[in-house]
Amino acid sequence: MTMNDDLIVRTVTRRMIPFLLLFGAYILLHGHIGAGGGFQAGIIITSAIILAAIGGDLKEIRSALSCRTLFAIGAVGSVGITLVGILGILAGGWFFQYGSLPLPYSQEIIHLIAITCVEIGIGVAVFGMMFLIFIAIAGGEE
Amino acid sequence: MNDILSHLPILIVMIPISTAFISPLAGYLFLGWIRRIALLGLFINLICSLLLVLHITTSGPFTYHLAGVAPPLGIAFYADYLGACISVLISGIAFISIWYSSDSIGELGERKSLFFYVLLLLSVGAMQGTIITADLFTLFILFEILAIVMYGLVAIRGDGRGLLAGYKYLLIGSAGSAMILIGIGFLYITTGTLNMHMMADLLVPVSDSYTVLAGLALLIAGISTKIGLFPLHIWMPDAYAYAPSIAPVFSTLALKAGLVALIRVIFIIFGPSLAVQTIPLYSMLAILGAVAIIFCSVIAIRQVDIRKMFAYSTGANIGCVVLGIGIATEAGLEGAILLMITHATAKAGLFLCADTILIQAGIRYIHEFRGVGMAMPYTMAAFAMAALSMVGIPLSGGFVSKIIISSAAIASDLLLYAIIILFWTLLTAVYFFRILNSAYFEEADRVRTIREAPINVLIPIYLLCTAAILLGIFVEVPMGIIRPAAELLLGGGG
Repeated sequence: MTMNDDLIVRTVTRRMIPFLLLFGAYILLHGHIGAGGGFQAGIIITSAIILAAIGGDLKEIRSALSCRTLFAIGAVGSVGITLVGILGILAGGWFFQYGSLPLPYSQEIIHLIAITCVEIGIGVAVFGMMFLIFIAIAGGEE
Repeated sequence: MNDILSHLPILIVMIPISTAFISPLAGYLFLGWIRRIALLGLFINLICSLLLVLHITTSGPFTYHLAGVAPPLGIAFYADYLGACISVLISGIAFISIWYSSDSIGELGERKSLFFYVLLLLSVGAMQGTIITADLFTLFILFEILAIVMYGLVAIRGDGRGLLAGYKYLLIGSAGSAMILIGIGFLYITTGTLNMHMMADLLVPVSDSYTVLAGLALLIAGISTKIGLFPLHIWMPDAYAYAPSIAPVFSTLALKAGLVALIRVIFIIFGPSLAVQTIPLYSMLAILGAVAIIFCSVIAIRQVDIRKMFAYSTGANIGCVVLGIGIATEAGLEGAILLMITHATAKAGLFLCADTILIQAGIRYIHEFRGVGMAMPYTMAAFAMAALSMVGIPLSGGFVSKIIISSAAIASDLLLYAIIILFWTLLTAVYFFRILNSAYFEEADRVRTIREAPINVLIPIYLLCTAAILLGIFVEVPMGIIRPAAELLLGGGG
């Protein structure tokens, strides 16, 4: 895919990307009290980057985020989720029992922190893998 | 309740899965470390499984609540005798196969072997979860992870036949997954819970409603596609034949995980309902199993590709396990579980031998086996040991499990099934002794330079193949945990 020459497409995508990223961040941080969560946020953020790739230059984005990097990003997210779960065991509770984490806050705050960490982990993993799938479909062999 | 032993049910699932995520990261930094990390993760997993068995035999089965939330809201893992003993089987064979695969992985190239190890580790984690979970929806998710990993493993080589086999597997497996999901949905709208033990009690008063019966039928049919029970086995031969190196070993293990899920669905969820119901489920399973035994064995005799022959032989063994489940007495269930263990051990050994022979000599068709017995004496000796166990020569593991199932059949006045198992032994002997005959007693038609496999490949092969024989001599070791497992399952799941 070469540089997209259409002025309207380029402008619209460039204007939309910041809003999509902001919306993704909102969904990510809002997940534990409302609709949303890590998976949806990961998809929305990925869709912003995919829009950039479609409207702008795919080659440029591919050189910034290689397949190996994306694979590593996905793996880091998954390892992060597992770590939060294992922290529950290390703190003397059950797997994923955040309440037992020894932090100097109230129970609700600890829950919020841990859930947000898990959501971020899910978001990162989904972002890495979804974008990897996009690049694979778009012909990502560099 | 918070010592490390009580966390073993989640650890045996999470250790392989987190190793699967960590190993590509490590492989990204230091090339060639993937195998070491995979091996280390599976070794820790094996130790955890053994500890779980020790813990359960001393203090009995126990439940693990994820995040400390008890059912019906939370997800529970239930570590019982059956789950623990199959967990040791899976982690042990997975560890030995990955140990073996050190040299043979080369055919895939560096980049694909990274994915290959990730998929293998994920499959081990999903299998461990499938056999230990007490939550029906978690069971579905883990089944789905396992199935998707298996499609990837079959198609990873990326050539036409591999992709076609993977696609066939994908179509049949997706249909099975959909059936499992709909069945779970039916049971959930009837009972309002997903926990297996709670569901069992709630189903008894409504067990004659069509919703529950449809749910049962869909669950059994869905799981049957996963385990390749006779009419739904058609994905197996291609998936076994075209999957690279040690992937078929993991397919065999995945079938065992599916069988454990089948046993749980029948005896834990529907055990109490079937006791007051008159659905002919058991006799239907027994008939299907018997037909699978005869049909798959007859087809296996006609195969020329050794891996396809193994696939049909696995189909027959799955049939015999289902037959043991269908007899539905304690002895029948004991025989079925023991056959799962002995068959997995012997078949894994056979696959490793066949893979070594393929690598060293390029042989994969049965008529090419002439003279291999002289050229590769140690590998063929291991092959013969595992084959004897598959056939069921006295003192081997296969013999004991077959004799338990046939005596259970005779004890419940089902003499025909005992005769079928005897006849099956004969058929198995025909297709395995055909290979042994040409390997040992026929001269090679041309001079070939085949070298014996190196010692570091032979050690894991011998571990599995001698275990296949020794399981028959020291049968009391696995029986010590199989007996309480069968007792617990027939007592309504405890």
